Amino acid sequence: MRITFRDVSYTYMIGSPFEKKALDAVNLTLSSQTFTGVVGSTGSGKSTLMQLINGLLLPTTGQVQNGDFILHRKSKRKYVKQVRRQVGMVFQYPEHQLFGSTVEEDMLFGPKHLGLDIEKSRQRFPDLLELVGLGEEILPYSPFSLSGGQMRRVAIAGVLATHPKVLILDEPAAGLDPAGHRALLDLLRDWHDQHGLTTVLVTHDMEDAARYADEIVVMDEGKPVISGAPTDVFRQADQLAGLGLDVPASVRVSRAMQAAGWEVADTLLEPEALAGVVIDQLSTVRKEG
Amino acid sequence: MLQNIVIGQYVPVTSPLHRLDSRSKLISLLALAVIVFLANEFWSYLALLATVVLFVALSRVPLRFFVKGLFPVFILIVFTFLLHAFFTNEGYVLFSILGFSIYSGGIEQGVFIAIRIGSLVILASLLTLTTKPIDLTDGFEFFLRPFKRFGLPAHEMALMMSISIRLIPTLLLEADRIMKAQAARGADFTKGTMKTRLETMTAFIIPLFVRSFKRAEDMATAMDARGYRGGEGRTKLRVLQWRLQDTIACIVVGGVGVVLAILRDF
Repeated sequence: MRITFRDVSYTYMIGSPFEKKALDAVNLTLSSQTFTGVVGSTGSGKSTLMQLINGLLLPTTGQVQNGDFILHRKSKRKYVKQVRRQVGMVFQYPEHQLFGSTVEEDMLFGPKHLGLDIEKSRQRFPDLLELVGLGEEILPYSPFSLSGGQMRRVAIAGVLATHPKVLILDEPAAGLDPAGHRALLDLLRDWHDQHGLTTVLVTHDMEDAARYADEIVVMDEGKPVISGAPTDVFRQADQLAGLGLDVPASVRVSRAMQAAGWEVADTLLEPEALAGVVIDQLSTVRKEG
Repeated sequence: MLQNIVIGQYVPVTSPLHRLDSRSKLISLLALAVIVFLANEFWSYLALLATVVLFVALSRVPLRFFVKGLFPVFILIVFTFLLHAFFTNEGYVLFSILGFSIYSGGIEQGVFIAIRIGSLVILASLLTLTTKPIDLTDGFEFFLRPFKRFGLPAHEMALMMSISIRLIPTLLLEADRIMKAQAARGADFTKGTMKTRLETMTAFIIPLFVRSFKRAEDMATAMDARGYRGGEGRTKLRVLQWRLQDTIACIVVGGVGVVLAILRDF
């Protein structure tokens, strides 16, 4: 589903001394079936942006279009719920949302409250659990008896249980060890590709944005300031630095190599790709020398 | 969803009342709570009302915050007003409804009582609106300290209060996040049958409890790790300071008491 923001502003605690404008006249389109990384420093408005997509927040002015659904300031509760049926959301530390006495009960919460076919959803649970790297034997266990990593996987399975068309991820891998971090994002990217989802990944890890996103949107002070393909975005390293943001290590290394006279493209976003180029160059040097 | 809750009511503006030491404000409130009951006829009530208006103006807190504070006691005020209006048989008859004669004395008494309750509530909210919760607990601790010799754990009580106050925003944030996470999964906290709403509430409260206990445990560990052993011999980061303005404030409040005592009917 295509997501379009039209002149969207959002102000927190409007009319109080704590009033704070989080988004300022945002115009932004996230094309259907793309994996978009939203990056920005703390307080840049990226989580506000994300919560506007499924109506957890309604825009103060402007409108958010989500497929055929249009959300605005006065959208009705029932209508918002229809939008939520399309949009799955994985918050930071999703394991904090677990409550059920069994894993199954917890995973059924979404399908039940969004009015989906319960039996059909239940039949998909084994596949879903396998996808997140767990087995169906876990279904009767209490989620609180699991390890932290397992809890997170269960919570994510609970979000995917509603088979959303749009998936919003807010630092889904925060606090995991490097291997778990990669594994989790890999599986979410696979799920995205297999089901033709529109995914938004909110992160401040540039390596993740570079590795997983098709498009990157950089937020600053409530506005998207840079957007485009990762290679184009990371070419503007100086501008990003001005916003308090880094570029992936491989981009930093290739820029340093360029400065030292090496022939390296600055579009290598993954360490593996850069390593390949370095090896090639080194072997030519050795042959010539 | 929870974004409109103001914690501890404190309104961060600068005003003479905000600058006062929390202790002088606590003493003043205590004194004023007694003084309010001195008023018993027209001029003394007028003086009381003038004092309250003056203090509210001095606080520079927007009026709607006081209205918000008055709202819960509004029914009580209306009820006592009506009670007095119907059941006081003094003065002359103004009019009769439903077989009750409304006397001028009744209306007068009703208005007086309404002013009395209203003033008390406004004065009490003045304290919380102009004092940071953490300063307030420091003030409380100061006044509770003398009772320590009778076994009152003054420092621990103050510590409990400040920890609770400190964690209110954290807890609200947590609550907001959990609510949103469940709302994203289709939970509806305002509508639905009893059964679905019960489940929705469970899905909100259980995670909140789990997190709170976890947080309390972490905090206890952190305090232990830093060798926290209670209040004996601890110094404070922020020391309460009694200045001239605090003495003046107390004198002004005392003056109000004297004026009301002179004006009232004996």
